Amino acid sequence: MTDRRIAPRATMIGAVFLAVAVAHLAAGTDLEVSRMVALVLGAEPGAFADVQFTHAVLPRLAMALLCGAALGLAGSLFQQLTQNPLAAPLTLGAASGAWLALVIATLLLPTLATDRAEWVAFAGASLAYSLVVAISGLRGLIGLSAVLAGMAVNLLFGAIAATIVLLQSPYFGHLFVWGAGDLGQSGWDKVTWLTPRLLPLLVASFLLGRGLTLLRTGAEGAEARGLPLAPFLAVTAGLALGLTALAVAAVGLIGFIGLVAPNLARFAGARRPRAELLMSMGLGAGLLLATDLLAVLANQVTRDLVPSGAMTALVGAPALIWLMRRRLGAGDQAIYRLPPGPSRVAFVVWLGLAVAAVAMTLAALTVGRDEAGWQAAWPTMLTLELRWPRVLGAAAAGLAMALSGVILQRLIRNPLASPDIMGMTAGATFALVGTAILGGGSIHEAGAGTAILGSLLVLGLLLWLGRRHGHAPTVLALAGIALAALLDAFVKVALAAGSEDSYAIIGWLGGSTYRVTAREACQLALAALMGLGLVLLLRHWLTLLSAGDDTALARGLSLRLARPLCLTLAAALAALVTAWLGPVAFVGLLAPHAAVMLGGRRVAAQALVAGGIGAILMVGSDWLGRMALFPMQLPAGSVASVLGGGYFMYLLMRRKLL
Amino acid sequence: MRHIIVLVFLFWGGLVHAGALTVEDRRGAQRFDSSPERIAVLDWALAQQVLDLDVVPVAMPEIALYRDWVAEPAIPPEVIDIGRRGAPDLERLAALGPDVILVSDVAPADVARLERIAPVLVFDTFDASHDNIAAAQRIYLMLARLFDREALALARLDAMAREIEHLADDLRHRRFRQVAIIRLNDAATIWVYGENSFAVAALERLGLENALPQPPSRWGVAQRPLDTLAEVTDGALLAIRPHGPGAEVFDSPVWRFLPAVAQDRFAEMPPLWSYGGILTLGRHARAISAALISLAP
Repeated sequence: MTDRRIAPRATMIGAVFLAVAVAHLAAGTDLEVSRMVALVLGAEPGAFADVQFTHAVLPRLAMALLCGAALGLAGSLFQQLTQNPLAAPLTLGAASGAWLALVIATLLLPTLATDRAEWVAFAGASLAYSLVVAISGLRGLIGLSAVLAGMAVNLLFGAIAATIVLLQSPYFGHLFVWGAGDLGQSGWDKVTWLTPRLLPLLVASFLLGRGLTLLRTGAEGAEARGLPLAPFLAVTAGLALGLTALAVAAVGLIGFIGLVAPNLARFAGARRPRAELLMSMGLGAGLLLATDLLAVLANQVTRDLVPSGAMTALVGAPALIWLMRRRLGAGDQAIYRLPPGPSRVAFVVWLGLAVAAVAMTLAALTVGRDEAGWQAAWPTMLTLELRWPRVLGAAAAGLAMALSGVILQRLIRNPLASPDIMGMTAGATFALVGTAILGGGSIHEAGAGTAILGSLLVLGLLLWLGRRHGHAPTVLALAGIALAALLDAFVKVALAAGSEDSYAIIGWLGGSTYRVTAREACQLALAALMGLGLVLLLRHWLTLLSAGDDTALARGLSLRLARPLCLTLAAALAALVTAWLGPVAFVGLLAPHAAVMLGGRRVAAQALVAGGIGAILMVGSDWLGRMALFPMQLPAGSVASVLGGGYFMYLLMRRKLL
Repeated sequence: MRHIIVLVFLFWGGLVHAGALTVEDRRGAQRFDSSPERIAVLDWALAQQVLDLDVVPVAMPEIALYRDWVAEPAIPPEVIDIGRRGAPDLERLAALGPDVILVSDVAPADVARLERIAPVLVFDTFDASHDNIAAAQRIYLMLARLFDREALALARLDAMAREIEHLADDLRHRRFRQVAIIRLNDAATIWVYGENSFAVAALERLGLENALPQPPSRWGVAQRPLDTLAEVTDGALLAIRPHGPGAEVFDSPVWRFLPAVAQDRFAEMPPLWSYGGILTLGRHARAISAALISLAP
């Protein structure tokens, strides 16, 4: 069943994991070894230390092994199914889908959320995965597109979940720990719940070996040799989603295991599908156990709980960057394929945009709500003073994020690239949250300077990680995604404390114009317009960059100069927006895409149309956020995410996405 | 003694600014020509302070959630909800025409904007670097001065101090000298109150010891794994309701075998807002003492 060559390696890995397991047990308890053995063999527990060993330390170990195995296997199934080494429960959106479904169920149907957690999680995971498949297309699953789409779905689902939590604040305290993913146990309940549900899926996965071998010869080849392709793909995806859903329902969001384990398995020499499945499962279990050991140790010295998920991110993200740096070059000769659309922007479109912009601005300034109901009137001086900085700030943020997206999509040569997906807003979030937590103050007082510093840090890391490869598109995209995932995991850990600060952080994460002052709105607008000017100036560079390395070099463009410069411009625009509004997701993805569909195929036209769409979308989202649940105010960024998600689903229905 | 000094200080202040009111907030002295009538409060801690002065604000945030989580003092139905604690609806606030806006935890730019609506008082309620309880008392007295209710405030503080003293006297002869106060989170994690929290301050004034000391922090609370509670070897263990999904823990073996639980040293307390105004100290003391008496009649 396994390749003969890898047997010694597997034995070695097994020995290491045995050592880790022993260390895990030793870290969790002060008992003597002889007592541990006696308890395992069935001795009656006496003191609390005995019960703690039998009902907290041992089930935690079992849970780490079970969930690690499930996640490692799910990752391997996803990767073999899509032939994409970056596919995983985390990157394909499945984990966040399961999470959102459970959050919604907790709010609307609490008994369903506790009694049928696995089915709720499975439904959410399946929905998210279908969305990713639909956005990237079946063919897109093998490349970067799937991961970009997965991260976009993560952002969308995360925004919806955060909004729900925000509106019900203290009732969701417990979800924060779960969002960060923790293996802590207080009995065998969850293990005995999980085991009978997990085992059939584990066994079934190994029955897929032959089909997966056939699949490697390509879809047509597999079908020619008698593999019923559609049912096989559905069953494989269903198993991977089921494994993900069970892990999420049992312990919460633990990322990276499903991504790293299969890659390590191949690195260790697993070649055949079944060997890869088996080794991924083992490595997943071992990895989660090892990272959880770090969490157990950290818990002994820190003031607040360190969730297991924190440590998997800490270890997993660098591992991801290292893995992807080993396999570079592939796909970098790709050129930027524009989504379908008319060849130029029709006059009607320009006119429509102008009318929409004016109408949206007027509506945002004049239509409001009070106790009596809807009011449409020219605002008083004071109301106007409260409204216009928000409207201008929203418009400027939309313009800036759209431009950042236009630059990045051409730089990365992928229509699904965007600043939020590539970690450029995560740096600012991380810096603000970190300052607030270390300083014991409030995130609202940390300031724009800190946020910009955080974004610069991410930019610096991206430039440094990409320097050896001339800042090639795939490297930048992967490094960005890895950084975004890492920083996001840290923020989740900061949120896990579940204090009043957690709600302040969640509110900020939504990306709101609430705190934008008149002066800041003007600065942001000026910066966004300068950004537009620069994009128009650099349009030839951007055209050449998106045409592929050969074309660009043939036309005399210095890639080593142009790429870092364009990246810096994109990052700077995103950083300014994030500093003053918080992270604004989806606009940078959606606006450039919509612009192409309206005929903005050349850089200048795309930038102008995308900028207009971005601004209108943000002004509209901000207004809707102020009105929808009056007097509760929703962050504009969250509303924009939901509208953006809706737009993608609309495109899916019309099947015109890529 | 401290109250008398405060009183003297207040009288002295009153003489210096005859006719006008001066109140200290984070930024220094703020002058008011008369006591404000229409008060808007933008967070729950300050809302509790105001209500504890028998002053009814015109507006405050998230009233429905306040009723579940803070509960006391009750909010009269005429108070208008202005939305989220972190982001109240400023237009609605402006439309209500308040005489003063009471806030905490805001950036200077936000204060400037609020000042366009009405005079603003900014208080530092909870902070890792100061004593939250002393700060709450200072704020309470400042607000009392603003609303011209100093006598009431001092009487309430005095009554609270006397009540706590009385409760402490009663507890002195009872079984428990060490107490840990927690909130349940989920099946495997809990929150433990430590330095700089109302819960632990109340313990100390009752002459009791914290059985699970935690370093001071902004909110005075730390999130810990469940088995931390095994360190409560012979003290009482008290959990503040509502438990929410934390109630799952009651069925777990680790919980049942915790020394405090196995030996019937565990009791529950009614909903208490641990991040409130100064009188919340008395509410904690009362709840702690009632819980301890239920454990050791």
